[in-house]
Amino acid sequence: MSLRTESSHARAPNRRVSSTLLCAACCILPVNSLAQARPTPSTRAARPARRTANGVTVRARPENLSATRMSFRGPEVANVPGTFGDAGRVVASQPGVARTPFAAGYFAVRGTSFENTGLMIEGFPVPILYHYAAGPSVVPTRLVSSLDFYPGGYPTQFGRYSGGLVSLELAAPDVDRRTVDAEVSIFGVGVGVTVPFGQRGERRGGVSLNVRRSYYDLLLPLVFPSVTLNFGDAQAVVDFRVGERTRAELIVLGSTDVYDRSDQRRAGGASTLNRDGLQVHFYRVIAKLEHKYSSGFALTFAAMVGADDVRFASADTGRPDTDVHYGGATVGQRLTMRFPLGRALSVSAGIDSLATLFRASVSFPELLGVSVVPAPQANRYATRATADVDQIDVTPWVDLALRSGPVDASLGARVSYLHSGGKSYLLADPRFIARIALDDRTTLIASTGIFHQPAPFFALVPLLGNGALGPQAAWQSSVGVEARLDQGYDLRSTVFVSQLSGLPRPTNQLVEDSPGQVRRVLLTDDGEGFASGVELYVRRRLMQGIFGWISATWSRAERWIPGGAPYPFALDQGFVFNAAASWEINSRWRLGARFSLSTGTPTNLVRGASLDADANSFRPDYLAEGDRLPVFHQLDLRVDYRFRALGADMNFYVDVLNSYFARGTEGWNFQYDFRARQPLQGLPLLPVVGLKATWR
Amino acid sequence: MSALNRRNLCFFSVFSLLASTQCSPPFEQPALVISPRVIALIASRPTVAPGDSVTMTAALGDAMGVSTQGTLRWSLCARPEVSSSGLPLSSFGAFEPDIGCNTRGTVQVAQSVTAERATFTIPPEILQDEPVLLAAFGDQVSAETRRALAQSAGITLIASLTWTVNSQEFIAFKRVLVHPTEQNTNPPTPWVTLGGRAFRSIAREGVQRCEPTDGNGPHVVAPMTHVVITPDTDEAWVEPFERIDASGQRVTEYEAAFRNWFSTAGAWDFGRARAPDLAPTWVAPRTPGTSTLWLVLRDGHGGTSACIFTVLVR
Repeated sequence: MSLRTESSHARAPNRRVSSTLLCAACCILPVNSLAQARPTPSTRAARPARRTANGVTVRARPENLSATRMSFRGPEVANVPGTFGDAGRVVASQPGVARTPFAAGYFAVRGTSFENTGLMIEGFPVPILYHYAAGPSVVPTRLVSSLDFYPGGYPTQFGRYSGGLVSLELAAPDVDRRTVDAEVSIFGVGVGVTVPFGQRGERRGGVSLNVRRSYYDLLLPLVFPSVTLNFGDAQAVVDFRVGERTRAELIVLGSTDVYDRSDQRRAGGASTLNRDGLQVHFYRVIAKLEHKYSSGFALTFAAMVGADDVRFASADTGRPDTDVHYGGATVGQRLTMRFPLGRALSVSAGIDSLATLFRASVSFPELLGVSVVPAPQANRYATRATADVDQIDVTPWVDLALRSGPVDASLGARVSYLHSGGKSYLLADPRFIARIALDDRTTLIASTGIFHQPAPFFALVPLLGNGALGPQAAWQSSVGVEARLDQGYDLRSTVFVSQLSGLPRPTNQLVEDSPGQVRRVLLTDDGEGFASGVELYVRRRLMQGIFGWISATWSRAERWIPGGAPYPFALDQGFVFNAAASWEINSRWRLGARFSLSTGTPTNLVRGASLDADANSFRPDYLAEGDRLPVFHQLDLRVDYRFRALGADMNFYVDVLNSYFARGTEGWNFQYDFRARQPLQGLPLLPVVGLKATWR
Repeated sequence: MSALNRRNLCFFSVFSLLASTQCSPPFEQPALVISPRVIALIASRPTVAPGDSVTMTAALGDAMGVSTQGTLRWSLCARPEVSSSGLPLSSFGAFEPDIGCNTRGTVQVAQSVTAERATFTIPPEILQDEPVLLAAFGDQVSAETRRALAQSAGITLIASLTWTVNSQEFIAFKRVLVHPTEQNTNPPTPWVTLGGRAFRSIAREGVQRCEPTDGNGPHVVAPMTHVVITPDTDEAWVEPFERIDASGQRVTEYEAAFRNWFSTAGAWDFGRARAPDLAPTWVAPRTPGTSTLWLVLRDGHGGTSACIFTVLVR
């Protein structure tokens, strides 16, 4: 896989290594920046053009202007250390992204929370983009056409998230030849087959089939007999060229993750089974049709049907088991149209619809009722409930793009009809982005816009959350400058500000739905927040076999309850620094390194604790001023060795996470009475060995 | 398996599991009393009517056994239930300090008392006292509904103890339900069979002590002896009661027995129990001496009783 633009149809096998490296180096820069500082009509909306039958390139669906887009393409990007060969994890080292504990595949972006960053495949949301336990993304890197990361100010065609967005698109099958890919590492094994349609020279499309399975199951019982952990995924992509200007695509994908730990230990207070488990399964079927008229009018229609199944369970002595199980159908469609109105003006419009029709079955230790004395350890009563929780969102959107001289501007809006938690909302998300070329090397970028997000589904489950939660909103604004420097360096710096409202926050209060009818709720949506920061990104383009980047973010994120004092957001990291570099020593050997440093997230200082003598448990007394976790730092190293064997192109790699075994602290574990604490330590030194093979 | 091999295996395992298997010194066991500690708070009656009195006592311990040191200051107040949940959505607002009658939003109901035990008289008009009802039910419920709830569900007051010993402060609190009609009693003081000997509760100097019924002196065990303790399994004393659950529905429930074990030395295989796991094993300490054991019995409805054992290890 490599980047192909509309002008680069032909593959150059004899220069494959160097070209893919070059592509990789090109693609890690913001697509809306640097190399496209003054986008032309033909390149402005460029997406990873796909070469299909007969070498004809059909441009993927057009995309509107965004304030910042970090786009990753090409397998070489996956060779960044610490990614375990997974391109998607490069997002973690981009500016604006807080360091994620335990290298989990969720991103807290520009002062927002994990759930505020959307994870999309082909424009439709998925519950997870990465498998558990530092696993790879749910789609193998070799199948990824592009992975775009928007830290904020994402295009009008997207919505439903108040923070950033990660959008992953799958590659059309290679129509040149049959290929077989295989990869084996300490995590798992995967295999993929690509078969083109039709006669050579008259290809009409291709089919790609892939399957992958971890084998944690075989290793873990040696050390932790009571633990079950595995993941698997499978994908089928059928790409079919209907005509010169029409292309159809069918994508079927599924992902499964299972974690379960059962423990019969009795020491320390537990007399029966301890257990916790989490399972996430999801499946998607996506059909796409793209057509481009000779007039320049382009139309893309995509429909999706999916199913989700998520289960969380835990058990502990003296309290009812917790079992939260939800799932159901997800249905969506995206209609996107693009109307060129001359050289200076174009209009994009579409309808973006999504419905999640879920049923939740929950069982958990009951909340305190009214004037109820809690039993020891926890309330011994279990609440069991089954509820249908539906969210339906129909959103027409329009984006007007103006290009005049040095100015490239986009004015757009989404107007959503949202039905969530039994209530209906009409939400307007106006957005504005302007890019002004100051000279042929420097571009000034400004953006502002409103981004609404429906309440997370699980927060709407009656009793477990609050069915009356409304949507949250973010007013995101940013100003930045992009510059192409000498000697192969590029620079981008952005100042961002976000005002957040309608944030869900925990509570424990009685509410009166109707006169005399009260209930206790766990969540309310009156939280507010503010985030601001400065991002700096310096990239070295591929020169003398070396490429890399440095990113740094200084930021502050606060939250408050109306009328209350602001205090640091739980995921706030004042300073985050990443440096990554890769050195192509020769055609066989490549070395890479990535260094990460971040200041710690806020944590509460415990002054003492009081004994709740009814519940027989201690309640911590936190100091108002709080504290922060220690500074985190980590160095990841990677070595790749390429060779040919068994008729295949082989790539053997060693990816060493946390190479000097820094003892990062991700949180604190407290003694039962909070008089002592121990660090909850992060990832240890973790070497990953793998081998990739491709038969063509 | 050598430590090195084990570590190498760990490196290839899941991060979360590795994170949970630290090599730091272990925490103190909750069932071991090795420093001053409030073992239990007991109200003379867990549910009282307006105008009634309630007497609060505390079971206090330290490494030497029953503690009689320090000063005790008692308070009685009304307050909202404090949120203690930390949801992954966003944690702000989740960690409100919960420090008995020193918590924000608290309304004092009676004068504080500095004494070993405290007797409070519940104000006769407390179920119509608007500041108290506001503190108990919050401002998201109308005044009319607050008064109706007070009459139907009652209100939970907080009896809070601040124990100052050796310049250290220990805070514990317990709820006392004020209800116009409901009756509720503490569970009977427990009796158990310890190492084959029956122990029954006897009140001595205001403290419930569990002593052998055979009158043959204190129980003696050898160091490191595994002692199985079997409590009385008769739970005929449990009482039915009505409550309003979190969804606002009125339901009828029965009390249930919750047992907690503590000791000044030795080790427990588990320190708390509910049926059917009622018989823990206490391992006598390695060094000879006198060990004090506590059994606290709660009914899950505010009722509490406690008993103290003395075991000689030699």
